[in-house]
Amino acid sequence: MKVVIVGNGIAGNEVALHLREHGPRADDIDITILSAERFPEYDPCSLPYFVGGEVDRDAVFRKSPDYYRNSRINLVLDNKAVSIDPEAREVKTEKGDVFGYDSLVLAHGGSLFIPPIPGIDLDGVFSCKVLAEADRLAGHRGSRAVVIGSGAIGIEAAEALKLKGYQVAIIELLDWIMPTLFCEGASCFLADEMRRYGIEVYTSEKVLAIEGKSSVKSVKTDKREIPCDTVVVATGVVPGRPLAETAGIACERGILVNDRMLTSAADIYACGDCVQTFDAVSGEDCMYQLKHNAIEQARIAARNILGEDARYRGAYPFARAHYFDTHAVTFGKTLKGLEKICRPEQVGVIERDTEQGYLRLLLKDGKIAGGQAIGAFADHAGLFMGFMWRGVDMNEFKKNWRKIGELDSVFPWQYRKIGQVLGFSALDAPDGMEKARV
Amino acid sequence: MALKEERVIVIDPGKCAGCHSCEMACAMKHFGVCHPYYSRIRIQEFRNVNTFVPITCQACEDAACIKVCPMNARIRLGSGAVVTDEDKCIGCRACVYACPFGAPVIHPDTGKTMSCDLCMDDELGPWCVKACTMQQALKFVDVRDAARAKGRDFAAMLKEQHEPPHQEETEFSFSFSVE
Amino acid sequence: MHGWKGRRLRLDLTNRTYEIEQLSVDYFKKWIGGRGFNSDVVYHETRQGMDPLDPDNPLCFGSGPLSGTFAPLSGRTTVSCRSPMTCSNMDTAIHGHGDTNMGGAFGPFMKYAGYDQIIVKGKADKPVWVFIDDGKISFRDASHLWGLGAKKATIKIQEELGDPDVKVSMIGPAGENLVRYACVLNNFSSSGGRTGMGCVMGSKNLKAIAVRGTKPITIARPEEFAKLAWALREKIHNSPSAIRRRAEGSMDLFDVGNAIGINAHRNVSTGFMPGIEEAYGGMQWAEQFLFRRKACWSCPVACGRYTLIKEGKYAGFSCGGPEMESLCNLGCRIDTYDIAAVNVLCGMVNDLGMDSVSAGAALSWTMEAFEKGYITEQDTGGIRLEWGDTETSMKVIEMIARRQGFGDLLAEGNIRVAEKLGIGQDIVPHCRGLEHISVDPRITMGFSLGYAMSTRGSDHLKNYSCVEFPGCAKSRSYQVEEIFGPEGAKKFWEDFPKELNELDTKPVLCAWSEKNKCVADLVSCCCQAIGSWGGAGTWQEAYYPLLIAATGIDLSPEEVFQSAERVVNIERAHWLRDGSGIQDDTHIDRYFDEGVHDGPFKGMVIDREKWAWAQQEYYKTHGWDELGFITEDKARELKIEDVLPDMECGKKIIRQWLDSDKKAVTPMFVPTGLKK
Repeated sequence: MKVVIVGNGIAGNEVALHLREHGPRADDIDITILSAERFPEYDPCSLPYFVGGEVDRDAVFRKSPDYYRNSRINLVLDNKAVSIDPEAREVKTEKGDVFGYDSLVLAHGGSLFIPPIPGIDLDGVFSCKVLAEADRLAGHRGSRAVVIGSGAIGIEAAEALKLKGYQVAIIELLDWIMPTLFCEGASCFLADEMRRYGIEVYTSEKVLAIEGKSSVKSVKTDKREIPCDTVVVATGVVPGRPLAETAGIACERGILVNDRMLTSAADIYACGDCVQTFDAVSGEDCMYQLKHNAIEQARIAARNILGEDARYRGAYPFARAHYFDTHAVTFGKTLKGLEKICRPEQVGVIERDTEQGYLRLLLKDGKIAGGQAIGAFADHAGLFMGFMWRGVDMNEFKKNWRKIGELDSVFPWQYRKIGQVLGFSALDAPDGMEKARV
Repeated sequence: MALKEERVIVIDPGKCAGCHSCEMACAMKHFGVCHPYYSRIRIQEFRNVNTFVPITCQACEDAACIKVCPMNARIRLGSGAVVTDEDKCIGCRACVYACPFGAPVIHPDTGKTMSCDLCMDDELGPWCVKACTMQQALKFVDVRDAARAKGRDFAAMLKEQHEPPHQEETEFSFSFSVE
Repeated sequence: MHGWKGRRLRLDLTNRTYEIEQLSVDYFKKWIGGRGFNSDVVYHETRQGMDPLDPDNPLCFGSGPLSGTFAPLSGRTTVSCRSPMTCSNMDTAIHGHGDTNMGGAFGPFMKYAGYDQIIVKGKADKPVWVFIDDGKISFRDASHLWGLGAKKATIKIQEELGDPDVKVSMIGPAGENLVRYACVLNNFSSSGGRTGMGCVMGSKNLKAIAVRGTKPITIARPEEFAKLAWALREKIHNSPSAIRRRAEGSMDLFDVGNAIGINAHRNVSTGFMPGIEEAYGGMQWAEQFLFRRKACWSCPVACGRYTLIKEGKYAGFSCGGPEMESLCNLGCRIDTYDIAAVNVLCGMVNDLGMDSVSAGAALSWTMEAFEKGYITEQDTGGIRLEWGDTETSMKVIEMIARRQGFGDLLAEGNIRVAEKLGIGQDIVPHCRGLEHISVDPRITMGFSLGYAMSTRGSDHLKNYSCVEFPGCAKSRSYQVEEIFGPEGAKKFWEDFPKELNELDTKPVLCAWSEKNKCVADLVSCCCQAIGSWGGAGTWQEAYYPLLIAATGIDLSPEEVFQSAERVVNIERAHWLRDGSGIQDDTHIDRYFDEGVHDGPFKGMVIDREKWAWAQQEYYKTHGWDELGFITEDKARELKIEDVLPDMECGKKIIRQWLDSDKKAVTPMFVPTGLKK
């Protein structure tokens, strides 16, 4: 069997790895990875830490060239796939090579969204999404930087530049930073932490232009002008559809796939940042371009290629941020996201704000649909996610909490722990002592 | 997925008496000091109902921590154990948050995470298990035995309470042993 | 500094301030830890004639060098101060040294927070609790906790701090109401019961001390230490006695107890209770009530129990405990076979924060006084306590803790109750005002002598001469020669197993056992492991190498043993300073005159002549004078010369009393020739 994987990113490599490791006929599979870039697989998530100098450049690579050789994976570098012929089962590359396939996996991800701002092509404007750009940014010598966009990459890039000694400002078009990941409260808390760290944070501000002749001199917004010599654009990722469209594969925002990661064309799978899929909890269409989703999707694709009937459970947001000793985590829906998909009376919020930290859980019909935590509460995020998966009704849970496991020798300790974390009192009912006395 | 010939630490909270010997053993083994914060196994105490749950890395087959680590610092060793590569870890705690038990713990001094390495090649085996010889709340068993034992008594209960609504294998069901 | 933390925390509740004192290596070498620090502070920071409820009475929590380490059995904490419960038989207002040893995890966390010892002085103007968060100390209002039982108050504190792992050491309502035998608890039910430390804590308006510690204990030679700790653990894992102790809890002693008379039946009027094995035996208990085991910090054995009553009248009741001593004193001491009810009593006593021995003694004394017709309902406000009446007992226990009605009187401790009522002094089984534990003093002579000589009043946990039990002697025959020397050992084995009832070898055994037990307290390890079940072997094998590897100091076993002797002497000096010497080192007349009622040792009494001999022999073994006072030579040898002026002062008091016409509070045997 011949499998061609377009894209040498996390999803593409996960497919290859899974095919090699788990395929019962593993050795019969002929795997080819087509990459538009020049490097073996690296992790875009680690790039900001490389830029910031926290780790060596070596640390961003997930695979070495040897790995591909040893795993008998045919890696074609610097040769972008440009068209697909589903009838002939062939992929063509920009250099004119043709690769035939039995199964094709589209895992080429997306490309950086370049906002239509004047001056975006000036010298000193970078992104932080691909290694080549990160290399350029790491080699750049500057002192004042502006980061446009405050998604996960944006704030990490801002931190990285701050670590490198830059004076950093971050500009967000929407009302608070990381708007798709955090609700306002947690976000503002994090913004304050960033300010304490010395990063200027401007929200509800629109970048009008990047000024400068050949290289960047300043960034002009609708409220101010910030002089700078470095600009990092982190305004999101647009899924790569053009390749799929050459094969007539159905696309909306991204490539449409079913729960087996199969596209509308036979034997063409897609996974990773380029696909549009559904939310694990609410079932709505979504695109959470996050690493864990890419890996899970890739595994589903690989297992289906191997003939299993594996179904995808859906994508879910999960991200974290840290500044100094402040650690924050978010999972599932934000309040804004939730309000979009359900009626106001369906939405509920549980909030805790104590010495130890901050916690907000968002409920849909009484069940956890998302949450954010800062500080000690964050350590229990995994337990809350478990609750989200299991669809525990929080009202029922609160009512019954004290009784859970009271007389059981082995009981679901997570339930008791979460009660503790949520500050339920173990004292609101008579204990055994009093029961015996009355 | 086929189960490999691996040995895992299986926990039976019903037998734990809350002595924290396992924590002391772990801290002693890895850092030569004594404090639960330096231990990779931690006991969750519910002392008002006298219940203690040792939490340690279960080395999930489909480990959430591996998937979310931005630095790919969570690695699986030949023994099956999933540990943090300290050279790569940036202390972002994503693995702690993603873990269904919160099993990876944070080293108090470095801020990096750590989790059970099954004491590598120590001739005593995992120290925590050894320290629990009398109570038998921790056992070091062949993964296939563990699976079989798990399949018996508590399976029904766990299915109800711990199974996420996924098609994938339940990667984070807690292993309990039965005698 | 390794092993130790090198710091002592002094809390002043009056001014709500604190002070951190650095301790030197020399100090550690001298006192080693736990009970050593405490006894030093208690002796030197109290004065003769001081009222124990005086704000200046230092309430000390001490942990040792092994506390909180990987060394097994190292979860113990000693709590000491001048005791409000114990007293001299000359006058109940003369108090002396008091301390108590509790399990749980408080000591280890004190060390994690950075302190070897915590000393509380002063008195808060209103109820407070103290939160020690490493170096941050805060005094917090406890008015909402006042009156709450141990369990509820602990949960409240933990919920308030949002941290279920905070270790809380606290008092129950009994301590607040200054019941003289109130206890200090930690971890919900690990209590330091004896001598009324909770009363002193209550008198300071201190409801609780909560500790969170985040700093590790470093070890001087980690690899060696780990190896030694493993060796000891291995020994315990494979010890049949440890395995039995785990399975049955300390209740494994009940069957042995009946054979050698250590089950205090009916107010310790006899040490035999028919059918106790079936009713109270460890296996039977476990089958009926064991919910789960409960262990102290770093203890692989887990002899602690957690009760759940599954059926019957008290179905659904759950609590921490009990252990053998609680069951025996709240059960067979009041002559009941209703174990479920006894469990409830134990749970109540714990939750209310009282010493289960003294509480049981209060009940049993009242029962015997009723039986003998000493008191009537008129004295008790209409309450009648008959043998085995558990339900009324529960009521009375609650009344004691809240100091209501007759309970207010019983809360004073038997010796004062009898004194106040002017009757029943002859049936108060006590030494130095503290009631006997479950062992009948007429049968096991080592324990008997130990009660009388104990530095905290009648209690086995000061001398703990378990070697006298035939079973222990056999399994630890290698120790016999160490204790008695070649000659003594020969004599010991000649008398064996009758030696149990003979005083001949006991002075030597007693003096040795005191030091032996003290070593365990100094390093803050469990004395049971080198005592009753003995699975750990001798302290020289078990604790000494660990102590050296952990701390890295240069200290020979002899020096450690001498430290133990020093601690015993300084505690003794505390009593002697107040004039409590030979006249208190004895038992009440009952045990010399009235034979054991029942069982294999029926009719047995203590021989007065032999007792007088044993007293003197014991003093000689210790190097004390004929009045039981520490001699100049001894003081110099132990480097505690500063006690010498106090000895003179004490001697004056004792001479005065002996020469006066004053009688002892309870009728007590005083060797002839001393008293006119």
